[in-house]
Amino acid sequence: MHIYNTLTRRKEPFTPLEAGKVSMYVCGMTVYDYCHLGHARVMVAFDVITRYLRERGYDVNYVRNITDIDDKILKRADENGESITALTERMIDAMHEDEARLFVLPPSHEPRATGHIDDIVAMIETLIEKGFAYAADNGDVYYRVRKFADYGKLNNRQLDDMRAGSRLMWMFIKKTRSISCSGRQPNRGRRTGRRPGVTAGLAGTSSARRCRPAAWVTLSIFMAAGRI
Amino acid sequence: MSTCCLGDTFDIHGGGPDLTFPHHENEIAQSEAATGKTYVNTWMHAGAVRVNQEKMSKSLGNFFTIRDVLAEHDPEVVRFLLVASHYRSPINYSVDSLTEARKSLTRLYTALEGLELGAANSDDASAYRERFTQVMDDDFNTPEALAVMFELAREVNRAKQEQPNEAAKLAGELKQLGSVLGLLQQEPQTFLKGTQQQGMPLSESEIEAKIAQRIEAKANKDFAQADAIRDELAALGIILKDSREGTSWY
Repeated sequence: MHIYNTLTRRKEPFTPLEAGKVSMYVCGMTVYDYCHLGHARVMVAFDVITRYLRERGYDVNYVRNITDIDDKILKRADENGESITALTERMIDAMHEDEARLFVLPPSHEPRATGHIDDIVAMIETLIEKGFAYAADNGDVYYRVRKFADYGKLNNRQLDDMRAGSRLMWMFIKKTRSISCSGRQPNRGRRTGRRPGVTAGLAGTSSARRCRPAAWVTLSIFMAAGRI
Repeated sequence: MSTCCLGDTFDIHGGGPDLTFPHHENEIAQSEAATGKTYVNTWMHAGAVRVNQEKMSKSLGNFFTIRDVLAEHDPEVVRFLLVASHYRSPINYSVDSLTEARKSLTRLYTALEGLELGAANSDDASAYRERFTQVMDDDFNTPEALAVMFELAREVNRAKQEQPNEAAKLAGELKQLGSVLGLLQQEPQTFLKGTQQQGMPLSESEIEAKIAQRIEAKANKDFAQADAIRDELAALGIILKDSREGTSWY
């Protein structure tokens, strides 16, 4: 079997890490809206790939994440006047319906971002320890692109050719502790520490059962290039 | 999030075309810096979807959710359209491309229709299965795989009249190959009637009434009338099939 690899820009013989098994991860949706045709295309493409790999005898572990916390979600929930979880649950159900109608098999695992905050925070802390990232004064964490020698290899770009400060080049990891159990959005102006008023909110609302305190991190990561 | 389920290094990472930069580049940077290991061996990116040759966007008014599309079109037809292009190629979504998809899928289901399918399994050796495997092994070449299936469908149709057993066996194989692409698993009649039902100008009972009229016309030797009724239905997209058992339609 040969597969075209974006990294090398050519078809390569496929050799799995473990004989007879394939571990595959596909970027899933940010669940703030209904799936569109572009999503359908990706879902169906990797569904066919998974089915064929299994037909060939591989035991495929297909993981497709759900980004259930993101700025777009916060914004939409706010616009709709609904809580984050109400919105994401609705959109996740809709996605599963759409998937089933297109004869797409469910992936082996569908981890949600909110279920992995600890892992994400742990990775950020590792990056800081190793000197690849640093916390700025406002609590945001920046990644030192220049320290990662291979940056640009997937897209065949040279770091020096990229403009620092251009939108595409910015990567920062927002580490925020925020609780939004009453449906009100976290105050976007402040990003560090726990907000005192919120704990009271948590204790008082009936919707406290629906959501839980979470350190959440936006998964789009921005990098500060020329700033090092 | 991949580490929980897949470990620090895994075989394949897939996604849409717009994620290559900066998203996937950044995933590599963060993972490989944190773990010190290669993150992914093979990166696979699907091609984009264009609507009427333009980029899909809300501002252009050509933005469609899956629900929008499935309100108008049969889901398996939509899937066929998505599968008929190579995963890395861009796809053009348009009325024409959907009509083509529907015709193609109809050809395949028509081949399967009216047969008691033999159960085929992956171990059966056959030239079609071999060729199917060869093309799918080559970076999942689904368009070529479908070409193999169309050839097989032609064989089924050829065998149907004189060699029903052979036809049934080949049809079983066709259905099994279809399952690898997530296609052809419905009852042929269900699909064939279903696609016609969408936006169908006549109800089933109205069609049956027309068929009865035609049978009467033929009994009265009024073949011109019989043909006129047949043509009228054909113009509405309803095809009649005469056989010893009677007239069926789809």
